[in-house]
Amino acid sequence: MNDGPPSRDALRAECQAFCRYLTGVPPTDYVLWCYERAWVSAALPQVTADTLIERSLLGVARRGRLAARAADGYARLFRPYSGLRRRLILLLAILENTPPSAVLLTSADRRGTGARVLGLAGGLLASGACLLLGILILGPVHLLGSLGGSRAR
Amino acid sequence: MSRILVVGSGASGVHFALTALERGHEVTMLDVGHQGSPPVEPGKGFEALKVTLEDPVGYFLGERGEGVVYAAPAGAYYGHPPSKQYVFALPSAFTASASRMEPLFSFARGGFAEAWTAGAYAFNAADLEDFPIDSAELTRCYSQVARRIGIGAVRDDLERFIPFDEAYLPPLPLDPHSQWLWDRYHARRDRLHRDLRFFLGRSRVATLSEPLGERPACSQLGRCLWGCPTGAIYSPVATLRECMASPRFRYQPGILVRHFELGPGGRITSVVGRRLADQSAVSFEADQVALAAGALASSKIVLDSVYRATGQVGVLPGLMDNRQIHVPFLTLGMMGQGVDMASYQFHHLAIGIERASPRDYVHGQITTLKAASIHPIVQSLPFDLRTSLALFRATRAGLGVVNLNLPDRRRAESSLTVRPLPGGEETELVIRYGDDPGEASEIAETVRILRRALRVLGCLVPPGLTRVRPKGASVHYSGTLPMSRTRAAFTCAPDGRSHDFENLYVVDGACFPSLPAKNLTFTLMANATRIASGL
Repeated sequence: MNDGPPSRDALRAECQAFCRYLTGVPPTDYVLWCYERAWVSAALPQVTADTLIERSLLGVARRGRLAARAADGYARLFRPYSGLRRRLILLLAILENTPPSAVLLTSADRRGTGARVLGLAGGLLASGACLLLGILILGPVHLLGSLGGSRAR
Repeated sequence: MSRILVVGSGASGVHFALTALERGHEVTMLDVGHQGSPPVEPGKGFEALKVTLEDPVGYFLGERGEGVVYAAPAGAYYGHPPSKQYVFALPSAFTASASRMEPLFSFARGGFAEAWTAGAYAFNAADLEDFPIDSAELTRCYSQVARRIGIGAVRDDLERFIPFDEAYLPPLPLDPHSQWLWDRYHARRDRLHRDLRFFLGRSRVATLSEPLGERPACSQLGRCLWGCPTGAIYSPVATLRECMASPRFRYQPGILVRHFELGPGGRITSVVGRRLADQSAVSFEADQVALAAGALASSKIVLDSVYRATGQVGVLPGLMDNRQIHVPFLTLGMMGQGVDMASYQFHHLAIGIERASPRDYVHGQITTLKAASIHPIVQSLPFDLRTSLALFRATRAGLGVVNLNLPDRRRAESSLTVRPLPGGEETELVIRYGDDPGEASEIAETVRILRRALRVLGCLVPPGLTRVRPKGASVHYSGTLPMSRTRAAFTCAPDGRSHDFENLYVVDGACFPSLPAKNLTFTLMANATRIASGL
């Protein structure tokens, strides 16, 4: 069984959610167009039904910024080559090459040392919290999928 | 005057051809000759293109996203952009398989040097120990090539390993991060020399700091990786243009050379190729033939010629390539500063690590992060992308990478051969790289020394981000038809003339008997010039 290609609306909704997660703002029409083009040209990987964790990662990440961060943090550590990571990396690559997000993503943070350190510390704390959330939500699914896979073998 | 056929238009081929033309010979160059598109908006900088192009994502990443670098176990921190894909495109009639190596091939007009980072380092006496040649003659050719292509350099601590030449131009101005490292090195050099045998200097780069002929000086557009739009970075195509100005030169693109036809005594009577437009066979006669298609493709032509003439499948031992290691670092003193994207994108600084034997010298180049694709770096950090982006931006001005090269030696376990394909007419190139059992400890020791040196310079090497690149990544292939004073099968004489075919010259990396850690392209050009000078 295969999920099949998503509808255009689903793809746009996914791009919206991921873009808000990465930049805090919604995508421009051009970014949406590039993301859709990537699907058409097969740059975006299909997610098949036999990988429960792949579907779960995407399903969770599409729910909003916080959920996307939780799923991304989990995927970075436990599924670094997953479809979710590939989609997020693709979107990041698109965003870094188009205004106005290019400046936002690629420029150096020139705040004072204190502000930078505080900002980073806050970011790392939030990241840790989201990772914990990701582990709580996705860990059991991942485990279940792995056990199911083992039994099937 | 001889009629000479040159196979390939890369760094070796064009300098061989130009020298042969200067000596009065008639030269025909056979080449596949893939070409890229002309540069878009050549006056615009890296950042400006993102604003002015109608489809910047299509330009920077490709319409199919082929420029996106995804996570991989030994993933790179940069990829070849879509504008450079033509450099690595294979003609459908050429097939190869490889084990323990990930080779690249180039059939581009200009060859691999269409996508190089312009590092131009002359070999010294220790590097040339296995080369059965007069090093003074090579030195003269280094100067000649330096005047042709324009190399920026200064006298500095790397002169200990890299001979200096009065023909060099002044170097490019340093970016702030490189300047910071340069200053810090000079404040602590005694300690680095004494404790670690670590030396730092300016990169020797074939990028113009002042105009040379029709090529302008670098205008700091920050587009180096996507292809210098002004020609300030040397490309063999510039020398090919010089060749084309001669009435005794003929350039024949669209031809994949397959094999030689042999006459009595092993003399080549003609070179047989395939016209790629219609797959028809085509044949060329000449007095002399120069193989300059790159070590892998040139070797395949020799192996195919032997197979067709005798039915024997030959084996060429001794394939070499530099092991490449990427070591990212963070310069703490640069954090919080801005980054000027309008800057030369490639390396300004080079390093040398002296080992017990001069032959084991390790060479590296330091690239500080300026204009670049950031997603390969951000995705490699061990956090979610949002956090990784914040961390990247906070540290951006202090980020850099050392690209280390280790030397390689000819070993029987690393070889080339061909495998006849069904039908018997065509063959596949079979590449085997045999791991060097001592290499792992050599890599560990080199990285340890580099880490300590960077620490002395005030830099951190984040754990887990050092990447040992697969064999094949440095694209310094060599050693399969080596120069040798002793007559032996599949070798060539010090003057480049094959010991197997009396009117064949091997002028590319295949004729190198050893491979030092330094980037070999400058020596490819100088050695090809040396061989052509002797015709």
